[in-house]
Amino acid sequence: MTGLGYAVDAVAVWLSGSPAPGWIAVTVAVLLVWVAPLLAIIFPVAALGQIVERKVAAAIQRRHGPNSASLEGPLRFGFRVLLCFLPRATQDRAFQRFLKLPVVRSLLPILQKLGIGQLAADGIKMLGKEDIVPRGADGAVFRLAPYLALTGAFLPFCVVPFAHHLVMLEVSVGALYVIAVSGVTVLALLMAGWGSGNKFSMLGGMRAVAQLVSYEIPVGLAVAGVVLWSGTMDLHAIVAQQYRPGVFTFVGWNLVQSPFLAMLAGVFFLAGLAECQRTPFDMAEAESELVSGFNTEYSGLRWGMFALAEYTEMLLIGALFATLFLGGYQSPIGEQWIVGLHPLLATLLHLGIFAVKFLASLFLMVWIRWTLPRYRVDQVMRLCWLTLVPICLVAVFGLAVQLVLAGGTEAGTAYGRLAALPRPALGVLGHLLGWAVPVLLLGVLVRIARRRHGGMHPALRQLTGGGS
Amino acid sequence: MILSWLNDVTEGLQSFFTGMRTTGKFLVENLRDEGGAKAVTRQYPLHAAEVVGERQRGHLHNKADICIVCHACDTACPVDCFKMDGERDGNNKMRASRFDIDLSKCIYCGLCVRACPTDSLSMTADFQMDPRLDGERYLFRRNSSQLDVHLDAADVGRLQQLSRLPREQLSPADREWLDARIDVRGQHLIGMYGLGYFTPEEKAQADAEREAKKKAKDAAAAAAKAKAAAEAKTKAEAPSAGGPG
Ligand code: SF4
Ligand code: SF4
Repeated sequence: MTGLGYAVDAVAVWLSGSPAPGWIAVTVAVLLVWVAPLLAIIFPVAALGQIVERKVAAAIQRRHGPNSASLEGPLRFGFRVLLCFLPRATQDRAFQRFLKLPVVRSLLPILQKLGIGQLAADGIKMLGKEDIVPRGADGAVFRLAPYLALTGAFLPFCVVPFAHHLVMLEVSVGALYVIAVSGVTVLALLMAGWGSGNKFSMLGGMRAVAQLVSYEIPVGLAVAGVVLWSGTMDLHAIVAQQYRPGVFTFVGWNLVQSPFLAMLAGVFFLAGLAECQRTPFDMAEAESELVSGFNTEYSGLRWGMFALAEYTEMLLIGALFATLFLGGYQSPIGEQWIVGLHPLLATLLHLGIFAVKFLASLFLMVWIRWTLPRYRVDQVMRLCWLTLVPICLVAVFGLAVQLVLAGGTEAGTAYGRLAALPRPALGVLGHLLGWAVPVLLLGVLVRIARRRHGGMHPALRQLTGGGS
Repeated sequence: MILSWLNDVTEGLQSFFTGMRTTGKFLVENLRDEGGAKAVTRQYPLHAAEVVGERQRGHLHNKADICIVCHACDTACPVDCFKMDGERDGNNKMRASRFDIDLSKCIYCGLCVRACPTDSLSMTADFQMDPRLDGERYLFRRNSSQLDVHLDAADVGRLQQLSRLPREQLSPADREWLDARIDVRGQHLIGMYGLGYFTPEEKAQADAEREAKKKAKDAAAAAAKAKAAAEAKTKAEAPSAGGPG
């Protein structure tokens, strides 16, 4: 066994037919099991994220969004390429046949309305654009930055469990690895800002670094809380620990395990939003102040890489959120039957469930983006240091108190092929009290705070239609 | 201090959820209604443009019978859109015998309208340039401005019919008739849009000029080529002549 993860081992053994596969088999297995899913899942989904974004934005703003770009052109091109060994007339005839298929005929307009064609159009446009490097730019740094941004966005996916049998790497310090590797993005943004040789880009890059470094802290604390609770840093083990046998699997999810974990979940999501530089935290781009921030000078494919990196990071935050707080790829009900199915079937089901979970958070991020205006740069920092970090500290402290009160651990449940992990011995009563006491306390505190410090600002009250 | 902080956080959360509810409502409403009847955007060529602003600055329109050919609009226009001629009528009043507005140059700034002393020049709400979409109104305005190519109702019908067909399907006579009224792109009326000539004669002249230019260019290129070839030949011969000897 090579220790590169269950799936890699299995494929390598299968390829070489011996229990001790050679390095060629291992390399091929890594390509098959790690790289192929990365490219096959993340890339298209991240690209699709742009369509989701545009469509949701359009709906919120009472527009139509992209709905006119036809898929016929790209398809025809595909036919030409695929059938390039045939004469032109035959190609065209085959294409006409293809268009007349009932499935195609009914599906094409729908896809066009959903704006899928726009994806092809945008991609081709981006490919065709000139790759401009400004004269004042620091060439190598400028050229390298987009690759680094994409690397920082893609690498963390290595340890994200997509399905019970589809984990690229089961590292014992998975959570730490994710936080460490995604830090590469900071460097990429700084390089882009510096290398562009442009004041606005420089400012954007600086802001990005300040913001990312600050927001690593709430993210780190939120992850630390989960790690405290689970007693492990291995992401797959964290998922396995949230497993409960029985119909209602979701009672084991970290989100409902403890109110402090729920608080951390909220903070993690917000800080994650800031980590991927999305509105309301897009200080680095801030087109009304900084033209386009760090990617002002980029064009064509390099610009596309930054865009793709942004969407990949959104996916990453969604995937991590699901993994840490929503039971990963587990189904909310009846997980024990799914994990008992044939591995292939279980993997497909898990992938579907996971996709729903992280697409939901993608949608939420888009929704937030088109709801909230951008924060001012000092407000972003204040939100981080004076609100999110204290909340995190309180939550982690509360979590620790809860664990101490639980007085030790009990044996967990073995999950699929994973061994049982100990978990906090709270019992039903402990769980109920664990929810009731903090919620009541918080409720009373908020009451007092509202009474003492008056209601809302009058303008806000008018906007929200009353409120306390 | 902690209490005021808590108050701030609660307020922040509250307004956040209010905002999310508002946009969420829009989202659901807009997604639910098929065809986007709630959507503000109109899919223009597919759906007629219904909502046009009150002060829309569309095509210019000149009531030629009260225009006094004072050239005030011409002077005011920053891009020289106007070409006009006038003559005295029976009452010794100046009237336009020709009044062309090159809409391919016009930037719809409306300065000419403000300059006009008789209020004969105005901007309409109409903005369509394609006779296939809106031929009648478009051509009518052109007619009323006393242009060189006059089109009556029958002509308008014919034009609309012909411009709908692909060029290859037209008979030579039809094609010629259409060419006299439509620019090379097969879409727009001469003089109103496109290449900037106003009458068939001017179009012919411009064509001839372009042809002459092209011929001259070709000739120059051919001459240069011949010269280069000759030079190469002499060069190739020179070393062989003064070579090993
Ligand atoms: S609207 Fe402006 S550009 Fe157009 S014709 Fe009048 S003055 Fe000239
Ligand atoms: S300013 Fe008015 S009256 Fe004078 S030429 Fe122009 S349109 Fe005619």
